[in-house]
Parts: sequence; structure tokens; C-alpha cells
Amino acid sequence: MKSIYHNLNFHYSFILVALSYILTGYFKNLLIIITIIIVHELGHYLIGKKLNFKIKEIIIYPFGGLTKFESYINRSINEWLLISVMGIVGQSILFVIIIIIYKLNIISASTYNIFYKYHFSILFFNLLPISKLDGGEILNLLLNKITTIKKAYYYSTIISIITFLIVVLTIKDNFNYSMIMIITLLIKNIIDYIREYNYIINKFLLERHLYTFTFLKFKKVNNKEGMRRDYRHLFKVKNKYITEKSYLNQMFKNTKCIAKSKK
Amino acid sequence: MINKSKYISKYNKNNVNESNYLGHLLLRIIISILLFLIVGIVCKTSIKGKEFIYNNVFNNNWSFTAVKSFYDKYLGGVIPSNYLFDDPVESVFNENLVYSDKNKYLDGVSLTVGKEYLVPSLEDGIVVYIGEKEGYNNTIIVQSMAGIDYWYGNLTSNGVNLYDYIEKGNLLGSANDKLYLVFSSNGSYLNYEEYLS
Repeated sequence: MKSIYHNLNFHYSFILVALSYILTGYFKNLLIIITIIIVHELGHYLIGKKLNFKIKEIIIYPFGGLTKFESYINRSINEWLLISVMGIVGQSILFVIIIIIYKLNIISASTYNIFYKYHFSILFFNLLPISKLDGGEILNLLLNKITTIKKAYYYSTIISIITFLIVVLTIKDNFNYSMIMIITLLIKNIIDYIREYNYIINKFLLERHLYTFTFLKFKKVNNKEGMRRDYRHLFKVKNKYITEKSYLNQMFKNTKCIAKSKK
Repeated sequence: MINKSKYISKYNKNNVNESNYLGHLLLRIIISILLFLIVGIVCKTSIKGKEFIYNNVFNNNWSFTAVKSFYDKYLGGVIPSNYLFDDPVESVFNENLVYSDKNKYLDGVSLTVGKEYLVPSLEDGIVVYIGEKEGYNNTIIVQSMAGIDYWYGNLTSNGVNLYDYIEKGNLLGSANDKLYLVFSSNGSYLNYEEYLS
């Protein structure tokens, strides 16, 4: 798997936490946490390979991992949802296997205890609706099913910030050094998400201009504010309806570009 | 007007890290050989160095509990305390050590206990050794949080695995008639009277 070797990174926060585990003799815990996180990311990776999504990078953090995909934002929402959900599904399959081999007395009760706690902690954390975590991605995709792309982005950001504040208020009594790193990473995620707004919206428009996508549903809009993922649009300009292609041609008409073939 | 080229170049950026893999591999091999030769030369040339290496590699244990105490005190613990999810399987064994007679034995003490006696741990700590020790049969060594090694001899070890963290009163194994205890710290043996209370 030469391609994954170049893309798999262990973030420095993970290395610090792993070091603390090794120096204190928590070898079993470290092995279990690495197994759970790798199986989780493998879920994302395998479904991405199957659906022909290009995988940019996999980063491992102490609380889980982040698999960064680079693909058309205009691919169907259901495909993106499948990708986001497969991490949790893979992790749950591993947990079911662990339950079975514990009932068969292959592993000890203490090992099962550790697996149980780490599995549910990582699952719970990744399902938090904060941007760039699995929960945040799923929330954003579900919002895109019911509203415009701009509004979905806006609501995702608001919910991310509120959830983040709730999390900080809940854990401030149980201080742990790793929480400082995790809180910093969450703040960085939210800030990056807010800064990427223009890039994502323009990517959405530019892809529709350069390539051809087939969407089954259509919607009449007045301008690009009303555009939705998985829809094709008819733009009402001065009491006339024009197609999306000509509207985008008009928008991009003064810029030169060579359209590449769809990967 | 939207600048298309800026977004296309960002979209197509190839982020693959094609570093010098063979060079880094050779560097790591050379460093490993260098470390091995340094240790060999120290062993060959100085008696003190050889004793230092022998003691720290073969006799003493790395003080896991000292590092853990540091983390617990200043950094909030190694593992964040998990109040959301409790242990699904809890141990029900929590006893004190009960014996009927004690005699000095080799470097420690020999206690007379019943048949198939279930041995509890005397202190919180981490299991650092499970195996045969000369004169003590099957032994479990537990490194306590204070840094003292507690040896439990002549017992089975089906209650714990290596490098498990255990608490005071947890089950270690079962002993028949006799249980040997040795208390040591940094290679020297301590007086059992102080630690046996």
C-alpha cells in the first residue's frame, strides 16, 4: 500500500500522548486505541476507494482521525454521507467482533473493559457536531439535503460553535493535559472551516461551470444565493429564465480556463 | 470577478510527500549500529559501566509508577478520567491479606496461608514481572506507586496479566499453604516487618 504510506501521518499531539502511555506502562491501552482509530479510518479509506474518491491525507489524532478527501463537491450528497458514516460503521463492526471473542473467553475481562471504554469514548467524540469531525460532516450533509448550500454552511458553523462551548463547559472540572491539545485542535478546525467558506462556494460554482453533472431535481432561483447541492437550477433574470450553464458562463466569462477531463 | 486560476491550482495541488526514504532508512540503521557499538565498548572497557548497564537492563525495572505519579500530579493524569462510560465488567474481589504464621525466608518472609488461598494485592501498582524466581517458584512482582517492588512468590498468576495496573485488594492468583513476600527497592531488599502490617 505504497500510496497510503505517503499519506498517513501521526499528528504530534498523538505522538505526545503515545509517549506518555509508553513511559507509564499502559501498553495495552495504546495498542487498543491505535487499533480502534486505524479501523475507523480504514472504513473511510475503503469506501472512498470503492466510490473513486481521491484520498489526500489521513491524520491520526489522540481522539480519532481525519481522512481528507479531494473530490467534486457536486457528487451526490448520499455518496458523501456514505463516506462519512463508514468510519463509525467499521469501528462498530470491530466492537461486535470484540464482544464475540470476549464471550468466547479468548480475551480477558480487563482487555474487554479497555476496548469498551475507548470504543464508546471515540465514537461519542467523533459524533459531536463540530466541523470536520464525522458528526459535523454528517450534520452539514443532512442540512444540505433540506436547504441551500450557503445556509447549510452557516447553520453548521453556528451549531459547531455552540457544541464546542458546551463541551468546554462540561470538561472544565476534569482537567487533563491532552484536553488542551484537543480543544486547540477543535478551535483550529472551526476557524479553518469559517475561512474555507469562499473557497467551497466557488469550488461548487466552478465545478458546475467546467464539468457536466446530472441532477434529477431542479429549482428556480433568482441568483446564486438560492443554489442547492444535488439540484440543477433555472435562473430568473429580468423576467426571463436562463439555464445554469449560460448563467455560469456569464459569471466566469472574463477568466481564461482550460477544462480538464473528469477524473 | 472570480479568479478561476487561483482555485484550479489549489484544486489540483499534488500533496504527495515523496521524501528520501532510502536515505532516512540508512540513517536509522547507522544510528542503531552506533548505539550498539557504544554500549559494547562501555561494557568492555569499564567495570562500573558494565555494572550500571547490567543493573538497569536486567535487574531493575523502569519506574512506570514514578512517571505516572508525575502525570497524575501535574498534568491531570495519563488517561483522562472517564465519567461518561463505566467499566462494563467489574471485579468483585476486594480482600485483605490474612495469614496464620510468618517466618523469615531467603530475602523476605514466608507466610502460612490456607489451601487454594486467593491472594490479594497489598498496594496499588503495576505488574512488572510474572515468572519463575529462584527459591520463590512462580512470582508476581508489583511496582507500587511509591516505587517499592512487592514480590509475591509461590502462587499461580491467573488473576493478572503483565503490565496491568491493579488496585489494593485486587486478586493476583492463588497460593497453596505457603506465600512468599519480598520487598525491594532499586535492587536492595528491605525489612519485611515495616511493609507487612
